[in-house]
Amino acid sequence: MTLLALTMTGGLLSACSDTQSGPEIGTAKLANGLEIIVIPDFRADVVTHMLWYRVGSADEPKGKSGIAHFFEHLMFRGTENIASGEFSKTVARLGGQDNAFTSYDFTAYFQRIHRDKLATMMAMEAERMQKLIINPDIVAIERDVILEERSLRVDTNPSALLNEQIRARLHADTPYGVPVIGWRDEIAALNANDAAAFYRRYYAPDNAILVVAGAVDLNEVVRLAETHYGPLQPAQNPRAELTAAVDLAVAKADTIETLIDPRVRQENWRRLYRLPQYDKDQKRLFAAADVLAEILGGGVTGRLYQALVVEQKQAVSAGAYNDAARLLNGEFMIYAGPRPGGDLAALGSAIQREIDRMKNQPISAAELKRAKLQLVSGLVFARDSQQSMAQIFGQAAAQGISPAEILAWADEIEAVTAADVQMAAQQFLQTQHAITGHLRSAAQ
Amino acid sequence: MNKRSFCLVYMLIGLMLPMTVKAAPPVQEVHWRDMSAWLVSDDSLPLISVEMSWQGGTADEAKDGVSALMVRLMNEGAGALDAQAFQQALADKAISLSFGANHDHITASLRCLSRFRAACFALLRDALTAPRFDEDAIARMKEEQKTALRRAAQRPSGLAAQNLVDMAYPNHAYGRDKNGTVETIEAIERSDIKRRHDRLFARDNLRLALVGDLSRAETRRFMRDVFATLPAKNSVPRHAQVQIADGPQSRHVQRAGPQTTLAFAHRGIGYEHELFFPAFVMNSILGGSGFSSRFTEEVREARGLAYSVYSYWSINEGAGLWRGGVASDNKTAQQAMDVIRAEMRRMAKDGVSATRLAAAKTYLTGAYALRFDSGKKIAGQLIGLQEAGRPLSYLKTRNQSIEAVTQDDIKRAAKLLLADGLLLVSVGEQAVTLAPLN
Repeated sequence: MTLLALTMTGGLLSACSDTQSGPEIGTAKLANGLEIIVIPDFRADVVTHMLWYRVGSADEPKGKSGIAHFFEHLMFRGTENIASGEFSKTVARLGGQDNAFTSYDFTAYFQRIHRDKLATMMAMEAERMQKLIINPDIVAIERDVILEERSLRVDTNPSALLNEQIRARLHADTPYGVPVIGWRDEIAALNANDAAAFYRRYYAPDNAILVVAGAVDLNEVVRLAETHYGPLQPAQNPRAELTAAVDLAVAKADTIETLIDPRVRQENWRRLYRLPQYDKDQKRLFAAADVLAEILGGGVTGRLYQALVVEQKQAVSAGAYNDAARLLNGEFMIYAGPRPGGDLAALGSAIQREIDRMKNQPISAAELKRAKLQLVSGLVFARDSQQSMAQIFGQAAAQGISPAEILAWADEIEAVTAADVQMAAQQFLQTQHAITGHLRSAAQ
Repeated sequence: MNKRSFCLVYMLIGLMLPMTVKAAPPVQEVHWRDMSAWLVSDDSLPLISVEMSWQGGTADEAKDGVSALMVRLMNEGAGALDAQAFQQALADKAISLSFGANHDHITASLRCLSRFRAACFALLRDALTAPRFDEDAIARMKEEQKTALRRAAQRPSGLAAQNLVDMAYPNHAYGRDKNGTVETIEAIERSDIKRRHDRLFARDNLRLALVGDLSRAETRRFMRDVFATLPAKNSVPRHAQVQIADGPQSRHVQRAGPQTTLAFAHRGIGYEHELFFPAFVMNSILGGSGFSSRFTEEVREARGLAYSVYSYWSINEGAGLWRGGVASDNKTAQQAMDVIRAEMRRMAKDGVSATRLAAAKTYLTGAYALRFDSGKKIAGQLIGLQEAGRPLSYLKTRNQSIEAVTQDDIKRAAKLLLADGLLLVSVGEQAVTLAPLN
């Protein structure tokens, strides 16, 4: 039961122009509102069964941070017909594995198992959509588990603490300023009543998407889903509209959040830019942002690595990534690790020079071509894994992006020009839209 | 859904016969001269995954950290191409080529679109047979390697793991960090790397697994074109016999924070031991099967002492180590460790019930298929079997070996493997000890 670091770069979103035939993805919808996406792959007798709910930490009431993720844990702790802990044990006894994850925009539950057991997985998942038992004693124990999870992921990890600090400022006026796992004191105060309210509000077939990848076809999935999910009552209470920030300015000038912690052994410079909400009418610009991230920070051939690590020998690592596909404002992140004793301010200036170069000069044809191939080949490689495919299409659907739009993403990438990339850099990489972070072991 | 149909589903589960898993993927053995490879030829996707492994790892090196440095340099320039040109050549064809170093093996992993197979194989050949080891690349990769050491020392789990192997394998390379130390890294010269390369990369210590859009004939051509110019025989010295330390022994590393991270270990057995499968099944029940394990039941579900608690077999050549870990609040870490030790003692004393054993078997045999649902995963499984010295028939016999494990076998394995002292490392604000349990 984990938190998912939300990543949905163009590399994963790109599609099938590289293959003679792309993945044949089927979709359907039940009368009670449950959406269905099926991604057939008959190479092994295995299926990945996922149920995605359109609810995440962004939907939490004020002061109740962490309830979405907390609730996800409770889904393993007993229903009318399945005792606490027995859900996962039953899946295992049948030769499968299961887990779940929560992010800002969604919560998802999955099992990987032999295809003969798909009906049983649906029966069990349908059961816990509406027959969960919320026992206060178990809630108290699970709250301790989650506090330990927070310690493990965040409180013992200075880098994660700095990210929380940056995002709290970057998204101060939207729910993304609150960490998915929740603030420690607010987690400690969550109770069974909070969980019950959350369950009634969001866990219904008309707020969910069923994704099945693997050795099964659409007709079979629809037939089984009718039997197991079909009788569930819709809530007819869709997720409340969330409001993205339109004014992206978070600071007047370069604003630096510093975390000094003696546990730090490798210092770090990072900057997170707040992006405008994803806009389907501006696909080209958002595709250009994927190309921009690839050219600037895509591995060892990226400009940042070449400039900072290879040529100037200031840094030991450098990169960038684009995380635009969210319900609200996405993020574009740039990072670098200095050599020991290196000056973070000087490193920041060198990075800014590379950003300015992206804004002021067009990229070369060779760079553009290489970046496009990297991005477009991404989904071809992703097709090797039924789990990755279920993840990509499920996450997109939970964020309002259809399978057809995912499959068309490669065409958007192919259409990007050098001028588009320059424009994306100018629009998206504005310093007043960003918070910079310095991770230090001691004051400099 | 109504309750009746749910009960019906449960009846079916109860009656379920052992899992029928699709026969393991159709693996062919392909030979070219003195070499052999395992191949799964499947053109349903336009991809090729290749896994390679050479016997002779970081435990068999003359200077600490030289193998790790060498593998960092293997895609930093070859033949006429310097580092940047080589990496651009890979990126221009969306080729992924990476090398790795572990205690007993040096590995390479290659992934490409099948339409670029010619360039893909040519770049692999150049990386293997004509790496440049340019001085500026060496300097840069030394910095990267020292960074890896710093990053490991920043994470409590990294600190705990390094201290644990240091205790388990005193005076042996298995107990040292694969990256060496800052001092040993600084002392490595180009000639050391070159010598390491020349002695290691040969045909007689190579294992090979290929999956994807590649025929048998193409595989033979691949073997010829890529590996023909490697020496027939390697000349890697083999490391000394390993002695695993006896417990109980514990060590504490002071680190600020709300939580204490624990890593523990016990002397174990290797793949060839008669109790390997009983030990494997026993570990699954104790701490190896996630939400189904006794550790999770007792430490997490019943008491809320931790988010993650687990155990696993870590098997090197000539040394099997049973390892585990947990992280719990500074105030409850001792309690978490005591619960783990009580479960170990219970396993050694009482073994497991017939029901529990049956559930573990249906899990392990059924979930085996989940390791073979992608080309990349299949290639990884096939190379892992070869490294462990398993024959191809293992793909079929493995589940039979698990089915054959009895309650008595589990008890024997537990008595042998959990009986005496543990090795324990705690990283946090207060030391956790191995004082006798009540």
